Amino acid sequence: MPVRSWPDDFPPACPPEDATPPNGQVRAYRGVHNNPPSATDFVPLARSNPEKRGDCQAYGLSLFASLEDIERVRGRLRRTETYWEHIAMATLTEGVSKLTNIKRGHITWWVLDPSQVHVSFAVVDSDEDGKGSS
Amino acid sequence: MIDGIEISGLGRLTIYEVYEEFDGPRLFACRSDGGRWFIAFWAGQIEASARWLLAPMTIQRWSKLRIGQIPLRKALTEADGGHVWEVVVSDAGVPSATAVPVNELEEEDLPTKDAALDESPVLVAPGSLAAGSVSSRRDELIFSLDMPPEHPHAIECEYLGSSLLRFQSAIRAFGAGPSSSAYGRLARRAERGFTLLAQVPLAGSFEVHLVSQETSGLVNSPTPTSCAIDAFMKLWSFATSDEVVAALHGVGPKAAVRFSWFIESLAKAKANVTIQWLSTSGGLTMRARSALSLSDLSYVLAKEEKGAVERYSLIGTMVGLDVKSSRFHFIDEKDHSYRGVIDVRLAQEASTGKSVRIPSSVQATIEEHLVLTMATGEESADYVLIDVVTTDKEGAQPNSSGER
Repeated sequence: MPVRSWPDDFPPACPPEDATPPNGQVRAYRGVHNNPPSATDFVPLARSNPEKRGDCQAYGLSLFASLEDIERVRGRLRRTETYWEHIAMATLTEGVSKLTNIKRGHITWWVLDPSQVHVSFAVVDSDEDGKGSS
Repeated sequence: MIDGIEISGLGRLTIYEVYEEFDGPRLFACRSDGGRWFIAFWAGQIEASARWLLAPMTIQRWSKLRIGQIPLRKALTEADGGHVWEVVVSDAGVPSATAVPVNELEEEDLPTKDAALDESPVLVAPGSLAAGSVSSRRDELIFSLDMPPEHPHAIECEYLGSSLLRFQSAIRAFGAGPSSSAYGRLARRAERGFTLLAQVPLAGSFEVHLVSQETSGLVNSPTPTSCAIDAFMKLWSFATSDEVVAALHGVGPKAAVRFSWFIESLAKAKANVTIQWLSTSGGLTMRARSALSLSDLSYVLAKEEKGAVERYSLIGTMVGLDVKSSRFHFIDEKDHSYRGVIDVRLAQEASTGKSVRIPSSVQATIEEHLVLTMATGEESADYVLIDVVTTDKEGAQPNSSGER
């Protein structure tokens, strides 16, 4: 389903043409601080860091394709354990997404209103089976 | 983020390779504009400020880290110099770097024991460096000498100085091409272009950051200096002495002998040596040679060395000629001055009648013999006048020998 027009402050040609609507076919994970997840857990870099405006990827949210991927990040960067107290999962139904790093399972997800997407995420944490409801 | 902003104490950082990202790069290799390399770890958020830990490292250590031969944890706990840099970036003010001794790092800042990178051994230089700052459009070299273990933190200036001098001379000779006879000496433009400048002595190890004086005119285009360094690095990278000797036959006598002297100076230092070259196109070449391999190579090259003798045919003015003392003084069209001895055969001819009016326009055949002054380690040239033909309209004149 085509996405409505993107916000005016998005850079030209952003999101990229090869980002596709997930249509409920993509399950993805994100580290969050709050349980249940809140809007503050979903702030794109371009909104928090004005210097990144102009960088299309900074308008998207980082997600990971699997629990393994997110655990790898937490192993390499231990501070994320305190910053990401929880791992949340959702089946994506809105916006457009792109697997921006296949090897690392990194997905960039562009949505019209990031402040509302937290409601579709539920904490699963890594000691669960990763099949938490969304 | 910490790339692209001025950090007091470190300079401006450029990201070279990203290993983890979430809402921006969080674990990556970067390089300061002073030429220092770091692995940057995102280390959490303090209210609105981002905290980073930067582990300094040499490229050779980084090359092991990126393919998992060194665990990530050791990048921090065994950081070069015994400390890492903590950088806190907020909206207010210029971020500054604070040195944190590695033994004061908190467990939460350290990767898990088994966490490692798993990058491809092939290092692909990102476009950002090639298209980046002015400094990235110059050839850059990092010249590292590691002394034997009994002197882990000391190196004699003499060794470093003579090695750098020999290195500079060799690059100039490679820049001149297989034969420099067209010029007699390197053209002045080339001398400027092939000059390497010591930029920053790198803290924590015996490394010197060198940049070429010549700047690439176009992004990604190789400079003449790039070509000279490329030829040099090919020789430096050959695995066996036989390969080096075979290749030296194609580079001209001056480059060959200067390369031999360079190797000899390194062998004397008994150092393990690594040369890293970041070309104007962003390509990175790195090759280490052990003290043992340098010693072997020096031995082989010393046996092969035939000396650097080049013969030039030059137009200019003979301003002094003294057959009795067998001395001459000649100035070529480019105002290069040549003083030296007259070849025995020519001296005999002169004493039996052949003479040149002083001063007069001549075509002189001069041999240049490169010599290394053992006491100072400096290079100099001895010149021998082999032949001289007057080119004045009135032709050769009798009489007139004698220095003016």
